[in-house]
Amino acid sequence: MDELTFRRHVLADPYSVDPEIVRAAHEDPAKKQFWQEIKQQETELQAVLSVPVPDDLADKLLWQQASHSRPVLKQPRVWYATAASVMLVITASWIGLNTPKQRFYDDALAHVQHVSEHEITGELVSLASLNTKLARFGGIINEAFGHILSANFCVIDGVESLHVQMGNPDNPTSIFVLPKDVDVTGTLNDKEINGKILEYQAANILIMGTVSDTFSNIADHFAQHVAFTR
Amino acid sequence: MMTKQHKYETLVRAFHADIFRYAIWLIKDKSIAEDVVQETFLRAWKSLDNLHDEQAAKAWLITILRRENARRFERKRFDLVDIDDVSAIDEQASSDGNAQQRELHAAIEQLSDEYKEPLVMQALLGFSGDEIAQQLNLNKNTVMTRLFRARSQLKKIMTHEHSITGHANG
Repeated sequence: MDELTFRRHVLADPYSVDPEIVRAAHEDPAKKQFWQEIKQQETELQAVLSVPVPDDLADKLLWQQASHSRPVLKQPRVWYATAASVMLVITASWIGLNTPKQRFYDDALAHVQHVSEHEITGELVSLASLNTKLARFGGIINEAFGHILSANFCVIDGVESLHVQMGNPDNPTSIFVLPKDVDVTGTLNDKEINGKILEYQAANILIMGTVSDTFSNIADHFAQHVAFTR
Repeated sequence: MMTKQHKYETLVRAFHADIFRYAIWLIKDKSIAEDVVQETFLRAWKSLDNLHDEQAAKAWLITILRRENARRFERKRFDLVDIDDVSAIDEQASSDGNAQQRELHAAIEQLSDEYKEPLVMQALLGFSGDEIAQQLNLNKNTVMTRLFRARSQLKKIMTHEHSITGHANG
């Protein structure tokens, strides 16, 4: 192979595996040397092209998508009918609260039961992945304490939150990590839906679940293992 | 089977860095590049059902990004950036890099777009000649010629730089 053809080829594709190119380099030390130089330049080129990426870019992109995706109820009309009893109980529990707060809990309940984005796939979420998302709120969980079924950013009544589902896939417990400025004060306890609110300096946590023992267990462990650094 | 949300999250985690880096080299302004990347992923979310071949996800995102970038000029929503005034690498990274990297960075900036773009697609994104040809709407031979010329010019610039540096130091 002549010099020009060889050079054209390796300059166009420094990592070529073309047998003719490989053979030509093997047979001619000058060609081999030239190829080595081009590969070295390529390594340096790749280093220069790999400009720093903002640490929080991935989370920003997920937030943005959550903000633009309004909750989609799988069966919105059916939901109001089938969950009517639950809604009544919840409403009774929160009677006397102002309307925005009631609307917030209604929307949270919709996310717990019917929002398609939170469908459980059967693939567990790693603690590292959950912590990456919790970092958005300055939070971290220092030790795994149960199966994490899903962890997605979502919008509850206009509030960006992190919705974590844990425990049994058939009756998961929902943990909503919310900005501190969201007022979720109060208590929520009922035969069908258990609710608990944890207040931290940097965030408020709303925990909702249907199975009392599991719910209490997860809520206690969460409180024990989560920390907010802000 | 992955839900749409899970699929999107996988896409973001896997490709956001490469897409951002490509945007930086294409747009040459960090904050505008970040805006365009956000627009790109938002559009990707809306069209995610159209992504059938997950092996082609990166090329699909690059296609969206190039379209979003073109749309940016059409809408004239952003001010045009004078390419002589900005650097694709932020100052921090530049000051941290060694002298050779800074010279190489300057050499890349000296390349015309028709050479730089296929070079970045190949070296940064790992695209094949065929993939680059498809992205840039060129035939493969043209792409390979441009890649050859791009690296040829880089080598020439770098050799010249070192020659000057050598004389200065000697």
